[in-house]
Amino acid sequence: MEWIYFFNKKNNLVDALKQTQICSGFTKHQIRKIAEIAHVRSFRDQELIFRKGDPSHGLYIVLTGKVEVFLQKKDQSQVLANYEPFQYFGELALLKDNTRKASAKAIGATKLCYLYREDLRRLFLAHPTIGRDTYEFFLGLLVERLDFANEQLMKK
Amino acid sequence: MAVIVLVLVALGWMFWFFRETTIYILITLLAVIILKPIVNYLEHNKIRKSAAFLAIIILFLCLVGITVFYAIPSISAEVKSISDDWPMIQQRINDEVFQKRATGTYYFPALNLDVSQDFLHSIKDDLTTWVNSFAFWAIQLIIGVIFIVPFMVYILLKEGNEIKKRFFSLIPNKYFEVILCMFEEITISIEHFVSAKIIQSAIVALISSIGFLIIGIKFPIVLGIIVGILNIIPYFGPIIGAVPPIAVGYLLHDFRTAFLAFIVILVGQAVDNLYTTPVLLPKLVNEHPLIVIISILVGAELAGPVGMVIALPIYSVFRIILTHSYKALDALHSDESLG
Repeated sequence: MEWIYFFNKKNNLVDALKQTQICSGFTKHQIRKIAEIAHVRSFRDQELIFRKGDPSHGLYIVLTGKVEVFLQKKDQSQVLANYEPFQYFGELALLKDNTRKASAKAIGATKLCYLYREDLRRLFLAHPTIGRDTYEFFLGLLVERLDFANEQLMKK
Repeated sequence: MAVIVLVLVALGWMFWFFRETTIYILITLLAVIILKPIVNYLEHNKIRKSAAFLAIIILFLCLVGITVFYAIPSISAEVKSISDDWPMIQQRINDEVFQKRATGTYYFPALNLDVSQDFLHSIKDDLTTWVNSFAFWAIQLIIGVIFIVPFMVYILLKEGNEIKKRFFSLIPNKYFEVILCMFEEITISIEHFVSAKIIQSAIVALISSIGFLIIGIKFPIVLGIIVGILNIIPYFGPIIGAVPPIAVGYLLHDFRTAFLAFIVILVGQAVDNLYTTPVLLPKLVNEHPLIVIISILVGAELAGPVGMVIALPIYSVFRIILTHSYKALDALHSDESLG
């Protein structure tokens, strides 16, 4: 329970966001603006965060605990990725209105920070530098992935 | 699904039961919707948030002050002179519209209809009580607006985001994203609707007032405002709004003035439909015309003129809630998406 009080205090959330890759280049003032629109959600062990096919509207950042992203086919589930504190997932939702491509569940008691796309858009309108840096970060990420996918295709 | 419908009905009943408070809340939300872009603009231009709020609250109070100390007396003077002019109006009705018969009853030549004298008296009584009760209600409302609304607007502008976050922290994880998205869509559709309607009715009111001033009809400003406000109602509004100016033109002046008033209204409608509406169309609620008409009729039956104005946005809110919860329930129950 103490984690709830911990993260409800704004400064602690700001400190946690500071350690994420997205916010690493931002000043404390800019991160405080992001913290203002962040929703802190807590999940029980094994609780589903979202399922494949759910409409996706935002990005999650792990604050405490662990998250497993997996695909379920019939009876067996295939683990795609694990996320530790200060890592993010579901970031594609920020760029496009889409559905979740895999399911995610909490491993152990987990706290996540949820950033809603429309809130972020409004924030970017008021603070264009935050917007430009965030979009640049995600576009760089997409280019990296595209390069990776291209290389994989070339190898085949 | 049934639970959601029940909750909606309960909420609707609650707002209806606490009408007075609901009106204050609605006015507050209206003010917030109007003032929020200004706050965002000031914040965008690197003005401190607290300074921006202070400037806006002062601006809001000034606007209310100007309305109360300048516009209201002149408007109420115009309204009052209607009742002063009533004998003349009745004289004209007696002379032109209804012809008195030797038997003491009245005869309406155009429709070949007999009308009793009681009917004419009842119109006058109704009008007087309506004006009096409206003035009383308006004064009560203005006092409330001056003392309560700025306070609530300030809180909502400053803490609105925090309040929203608290509210969403209560929602279970399963429904969190769906309800967040639903809330967003509702807010945007109401914001667009309100801003579009305010612009639309302001333009129509302005054109009508100027036109009425030019043709020299009595009570030009009041009639212009009535036409503008009634223009909010789709389809029915312009027709209902055309009645007072034409009636005033015919009863207090002559047929020519009534015709000119009609032309002014036509010009206002032409500008509204050919220029304003196409520009604002993406912002206006896009519902099927049949649904618009039915919701307006239901609104009129439930809450009179006010109901006609707010029927469409309320219908849109309900539609958004129901479609979203239906989609969410569909995703929740479909087997493919499990796991």
